[in-house]
Amino acid sequence: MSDADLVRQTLSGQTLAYEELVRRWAGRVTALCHAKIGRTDGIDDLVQETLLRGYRSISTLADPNKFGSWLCGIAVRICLDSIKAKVRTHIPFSALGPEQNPESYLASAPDDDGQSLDQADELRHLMAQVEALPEEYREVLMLYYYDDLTYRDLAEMLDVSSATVNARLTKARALLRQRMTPKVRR
Amino acid sequence: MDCDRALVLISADIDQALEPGEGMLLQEHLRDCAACRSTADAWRVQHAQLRRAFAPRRQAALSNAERALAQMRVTTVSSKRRPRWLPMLLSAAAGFLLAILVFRPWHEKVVTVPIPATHVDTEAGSKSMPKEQPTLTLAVANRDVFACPSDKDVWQAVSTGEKIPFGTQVRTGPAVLCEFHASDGSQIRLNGGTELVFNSSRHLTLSKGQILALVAKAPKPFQVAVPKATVTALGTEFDLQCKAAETVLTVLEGSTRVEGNGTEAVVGSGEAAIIVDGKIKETQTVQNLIKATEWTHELLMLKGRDNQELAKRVDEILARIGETKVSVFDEQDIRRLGDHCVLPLTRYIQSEGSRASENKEKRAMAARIVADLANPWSIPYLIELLADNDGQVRYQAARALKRLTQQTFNREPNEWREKSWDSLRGTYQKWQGWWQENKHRYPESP
Repeated sequence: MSDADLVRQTLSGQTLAYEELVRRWAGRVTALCHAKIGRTDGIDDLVQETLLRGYRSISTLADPNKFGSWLCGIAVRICLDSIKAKVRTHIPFSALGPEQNPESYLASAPDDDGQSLDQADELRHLMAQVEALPEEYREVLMLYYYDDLTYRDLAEMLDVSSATVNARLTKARALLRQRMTPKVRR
Repeated sequence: MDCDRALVLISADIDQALEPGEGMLLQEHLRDCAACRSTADAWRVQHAQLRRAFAPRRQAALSNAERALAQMRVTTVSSKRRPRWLPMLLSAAAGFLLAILVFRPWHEKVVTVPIPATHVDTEAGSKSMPKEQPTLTLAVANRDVFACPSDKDVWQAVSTGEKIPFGTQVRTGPAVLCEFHASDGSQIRLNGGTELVFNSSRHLTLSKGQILALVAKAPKPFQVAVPKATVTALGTEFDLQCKAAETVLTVLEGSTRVEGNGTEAVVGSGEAAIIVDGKIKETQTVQNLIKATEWTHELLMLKGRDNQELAKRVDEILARIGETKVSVFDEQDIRRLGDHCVLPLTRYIQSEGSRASENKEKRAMAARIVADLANPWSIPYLIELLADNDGQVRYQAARALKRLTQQTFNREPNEWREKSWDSLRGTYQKWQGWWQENKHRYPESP
């Protein structure tokens, strides 16, 4: 059943239909919030707020076919509000816009201390590097790994072509590999 | 095709998004381009790591959905309109009821009787006695594990390192694996889709799913209640799989006693018993105990590469190969351990015992797996293997070194298999010298 069908059922009073929409979109909304905020801390609340606000205001959705982009719009607004509301003592990841040169991300990455990490640490380190990617790469990578979306789904969601999705994932992988490779210590 | 285009196609290949015909073009390029081959290998490893890194986040996304839905249901119920006078009426009724309970008009006289101290200790004392201290800790988990305390009706995610009280129900979702440690030293591993109650450190009730119990020896018996039967550990290690119609008990070490439906039987090490309606319906000898508990391998990998249990498993798989012949299934079992198997395999190749002629095939297989899966920390071991008597082992070591360092000293891997040791000795010494100069660039251990 399509998103649009589920939206229509929800509007006719069938709340179970919205439950299906929530389960269908929770991964993508969580990925989007994670990408916008740049860390996992506190994002689960933002996701839940998005899903609830979507339920409360679904009657304002003009085109049921655009449920996904409408819900993602709510998520982005909630994330931006959250960023504005917090006084940060460090540079926010939102400052890393698409115009930022990826090489500067590599240059500014902290020195690797060269110590071997156990697997859990390694995965945490990898996630930290994903979170530190420039937003356009971070966003597509997170959407891909959170929800197993196809290039076509990703392209539709991000309003870009499939080739752009492919290129961004390629760049993201290259940056991550470079960042995860131990540096030469002299 | 240039390398930039090849990288885009490698990425699409990993994501299974290649267009028709692109796969063949990519393979042609990879055949001739070592740098892109190396990138493809590295990105595949990275892809697997990303999948593992995101596994808890995917679970968090599901939890977010369920929590939002729970809130949504509450909102839906509470938003239904009630008459405005209803809260006032309810408040008045509650006040009246409270007054009745406090003044107890039906009691003619209240007599205060001092309670003996001993009575307080036994009766009131037992009620107010603090609950048994939590002695169960979630040690390892690949995703969220949920627990519901005995006095609540709310399932909450348990964090790794968190202690839970006895009486707690625990459940794991599909593909969620975890390990609990009891204070007596016992370890209980849970497979995906499991539901159980930790009644005490030596008593569990398993209603669904699969566990592996590694039981610490203690005077008090370790028991697991399953539908219509109780399994008591007389030894130390057993696996229990609770299905809809039957329970399968596999004993890995020691023996267990099964009681139920008026019967009692002992199941020994290396045996599997099928329990139906509390009785043992059938007992079989298990040919491959490692296979029976293969589901725990992911947990072992989460514990790190240099853990003894993992090394023991690799040794056991290798030993089994020795008993029969090299099996593609055994090789797959080892490969599934990823780079965690590299250290035990390297130790095996270097052991004197492996050099016997009957182990030639097994050594070659071990070297092949090491070459495919080795990471930078194993470079010094690989250099040692360059001096092995067996050309196949030298070839595999050279192949891995080239992949990891892009260095060959003008000697391609196949030469390490084909040339005589006299002509290879100089290059081997170059590798040793190179390592002394460059070892600070690589991690020292797994």
